[in-house]
Amino acid sequence: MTARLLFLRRRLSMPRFFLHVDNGKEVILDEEGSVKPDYAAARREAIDSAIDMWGDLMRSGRDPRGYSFRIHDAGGKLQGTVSFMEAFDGLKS
Amino acid sequence: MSELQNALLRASPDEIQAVVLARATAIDLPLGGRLFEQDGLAKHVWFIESGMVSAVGLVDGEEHVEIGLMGREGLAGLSTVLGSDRMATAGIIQQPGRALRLGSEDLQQAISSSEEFRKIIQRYTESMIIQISQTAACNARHDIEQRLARWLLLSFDRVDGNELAFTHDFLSWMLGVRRAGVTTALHVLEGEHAIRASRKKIALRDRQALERLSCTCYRDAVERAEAIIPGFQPSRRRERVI
Repeated sequence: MTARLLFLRRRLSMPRFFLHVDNGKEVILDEEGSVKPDYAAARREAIDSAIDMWGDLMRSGRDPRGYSFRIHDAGGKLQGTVSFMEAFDGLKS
Repeated sequence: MSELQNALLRASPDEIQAVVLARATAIDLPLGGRLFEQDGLAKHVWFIESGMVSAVGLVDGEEHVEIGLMGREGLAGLSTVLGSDRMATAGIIQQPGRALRLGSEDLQQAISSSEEFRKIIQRYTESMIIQISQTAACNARHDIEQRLARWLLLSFDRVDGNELAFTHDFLSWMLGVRRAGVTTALHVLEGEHAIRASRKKIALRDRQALERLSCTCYRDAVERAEAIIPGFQPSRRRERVI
């Protein structure tokens, strides 16, 4: 029980990040956001999401190369952007 | 207890209805609640009167992916029907409602006492095998927009009215994708005027438009389910709510 309370307390104190999707024409708003320990974790979530979405976007005839995430904090301030091209960074050959 | 809403019970002989009403416990299905756990003891079945329940499986020991959807056309707890000791999946309440919970011994007794009831339960089990295998095939071949459209249609078929209370986060683990993929796919469906999505609610605007955006798996699923499940006829619904 104590461990669970500690987990909940830690989670409650974590910041919420919003991953808005910019498709080159418009920005699709993330209205829910997700709780992450820090900006680096939000960035990782954006890159993992881009990896997931590449195939689906291409199958539905959309070009993911022009897509990016705009990561905002709970106050609405832009913390950074992640291009879908960054999904290729760090890949093994 | 007012009139039975569950399609399987409504199609069953009077004596079976009487036995179920006498032996079953009427329970509330609260949103997000869990009826049973994967590998938990298979002691009951739940005849759904209203609301919706998902059969979900564990992946990597923690994440869930939905493999079957049940509403008032059916029941939750197929492992119990098949006489297993343990549940093959977990059962999670997707939309609140009510159910009649019947113990496994009472169920097996009812099945062996009525050939007609046995057939109804067998055919429903067959329809779930079809739904589960089709979901697996659909997940492997179709893109997220088609799968989301199919999943929303299957859900709208199982509730009254034209609104579903789902967060994007919940949809993401139901469909086994990340949340950003769900948000983007909902935006596409909304752009085609098939649905209206707000923070925790998805409203149906045009059922035919949503069907066009879905893969053919939805139409196949409905035709097969309508042929097997008595009184289940979602294809008669033709909502267009602008």
